[in-house]
Amino acid sequence: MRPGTIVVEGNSSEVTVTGYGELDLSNAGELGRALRDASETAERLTVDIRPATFIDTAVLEYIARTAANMLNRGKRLRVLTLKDSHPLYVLKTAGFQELVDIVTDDTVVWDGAGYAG
Amino acid sequence: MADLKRVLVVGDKLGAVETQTLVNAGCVLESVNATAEAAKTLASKHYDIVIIDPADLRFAVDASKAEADEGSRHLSPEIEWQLAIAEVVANCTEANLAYLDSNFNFVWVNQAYAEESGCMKEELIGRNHFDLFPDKENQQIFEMVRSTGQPYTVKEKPFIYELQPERSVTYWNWTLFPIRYGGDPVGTARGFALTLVNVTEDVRIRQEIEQLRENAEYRAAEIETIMSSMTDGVLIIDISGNIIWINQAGRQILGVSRDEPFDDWSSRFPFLGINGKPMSVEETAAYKVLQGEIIQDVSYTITTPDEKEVVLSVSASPVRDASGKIISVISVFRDISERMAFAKKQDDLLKRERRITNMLQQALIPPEVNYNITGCRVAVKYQPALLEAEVGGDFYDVFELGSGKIGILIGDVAGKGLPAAIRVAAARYAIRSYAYLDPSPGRVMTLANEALSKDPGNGHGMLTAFFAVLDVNTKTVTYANGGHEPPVVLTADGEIYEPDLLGRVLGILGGYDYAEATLEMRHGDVFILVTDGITEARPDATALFGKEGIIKYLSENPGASLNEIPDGLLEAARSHAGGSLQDDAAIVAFELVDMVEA
Repeated sequence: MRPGTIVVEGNSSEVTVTGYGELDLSNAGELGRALRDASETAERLTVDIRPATFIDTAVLEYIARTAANMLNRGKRLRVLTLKDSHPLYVLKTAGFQELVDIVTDDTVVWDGAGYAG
Repeated sequence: MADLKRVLVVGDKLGAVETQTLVNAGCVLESVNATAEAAKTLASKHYDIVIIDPADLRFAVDASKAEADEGSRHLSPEIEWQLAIAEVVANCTEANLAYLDSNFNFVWVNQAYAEESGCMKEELIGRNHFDLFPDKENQQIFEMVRSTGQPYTVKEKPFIYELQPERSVTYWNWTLFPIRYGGDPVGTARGFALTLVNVTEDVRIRQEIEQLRENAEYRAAEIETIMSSMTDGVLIIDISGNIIWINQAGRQILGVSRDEPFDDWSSRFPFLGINGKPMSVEETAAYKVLQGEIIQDVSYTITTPDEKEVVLSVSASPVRDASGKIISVISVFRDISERMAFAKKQDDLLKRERRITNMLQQALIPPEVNYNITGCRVAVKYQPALLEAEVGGDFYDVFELGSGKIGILIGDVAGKGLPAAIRVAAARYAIRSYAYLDPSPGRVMTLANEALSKDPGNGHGMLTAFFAVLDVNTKTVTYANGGHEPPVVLTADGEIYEPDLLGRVLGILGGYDYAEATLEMRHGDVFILVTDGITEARPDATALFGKEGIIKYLSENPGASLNEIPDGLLEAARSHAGGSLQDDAAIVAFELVDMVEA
């Protein structure tokens, strides 16, 4: 299984944190730091997990914490996923619909580009 | 008596013995002091033999030629022969020879001189030396020789051809010898013999060698400075195993004072392997490197003179000469005693934490036994994480609430190890405590979430939990879901369905009211709860065991008893994942039974 990679893109007002491959305990901390840093400054923050093949509860926790912090500041975290994907199933099962804006978008098909694992 | 021979001896080169021999042979000897005088004498008289030093021949030739030009006198055949020999010898030598008149004009040069000067002989003769090769310092020396009458010799004197700057600096050994007639006073030299040898190449080679030596010494000093300032120990060992150099850091590490010799180092510093066993000389880094090996970060333990045990990390490489032969060994070593001690301490701490975590988890997770409670039977299965160090966050709980109600809990906290175990403790006892106060699962989850979300300590963090209350009297199960995998129900009729109730994960954000739902249960209906260790069992990223795997197992094993289902499901998930699970996993299955049966 491919270890995951975290990529941060954007500017001071809008940031996208993209997770590639397998997102689990081994890289959840990196994702968490990227989200924490971005959420402190960015007006609009998106977590793009369309290229993620798997996410576990450690990753969910960092997304949830970021979402909760943003909610406390009157903002909402946006999460991009593919339809019928494992990450979307996990998000729904965990009741994240009320914590974040889940946007399913199949228009971008990840072909492995950007994966550095 | 034979006819007398007239012999002219030029100069004082003939010794007394030779003189007497000639007299005895019937010769009549006449002598003159200089070749110039001899030339005049020869012009006026006839001699059978002339004895002259070869060094004086050149003048004799010129003088005799001058006389010959006057047509007043012819040289004897012997003199002609000797002059010819002298000319050949002068032109065969590599030395540059020249004869200058009293004003330093060239009178004669040999072939080597002409070639070295880059001129034809004809271009030199009659020209002034300093017009052709100007040099103020040399001119002063020449004038000094002329005025003092003393010859001058100099070695490796630099000279620059001003008219041929492309030749750069040249170096010469040369002698200027004044030539005077016998009665001439000092300072009235009639001419000068100049002999020069070009030693430019020798000087340059020597200068290059000197430069190389200086560079080498500089580099050596530089390297020594670097090695002396290193915090790592550096030592150089010759092929006999003797330490020939060691830096200060090396001495400090080995506990040897600055001036103490290292002659018997191998016996003074008995090496031990990292396992503490004594090592033979053949096992030491130096010996191995001398055999051609390169040693990288090998650990040894040595005992210093003050009985201190030091753990060294050693890297060593051979030093080879130009032919590739090993001539010495450079060994770089550092004291890693503290690092090793720290690593051991850390390892001990990890082991301790692991022991605490295991004990905590064992205390938190009920024994893996099947419960026979009045009206209800519960079967459980818990599979720890693969790695002992990574105790997982899955948990379950089964407890009687009284009045025929049984609380059944399953959950999963994010993370591993001691922090996860602490969260499990916080979550399990929060839910259990609220359940004793109010057995409404929705209410219990709401209160537990409030408590867990506000905990700033180690108990804080996200978790999923599914809490059900089975009422054996009403034959119902009421449940609330905190972001956990929904259950699967296998009915007594063999129907399989998934009660659809979702809710948010706990421990992140308070202010959330958890919904609850109630199902009627019949005898033979089995309620199955799992953690994601089961549903996310996978051989690769895309082929999850999933809910589909559970349904498939149940469909393919219609006769499986309650006690068999957890074991069977775990085995099916493990098999799907290729033999082992990546995460820990928990399964809880329960069913109603007759009061009497239970």
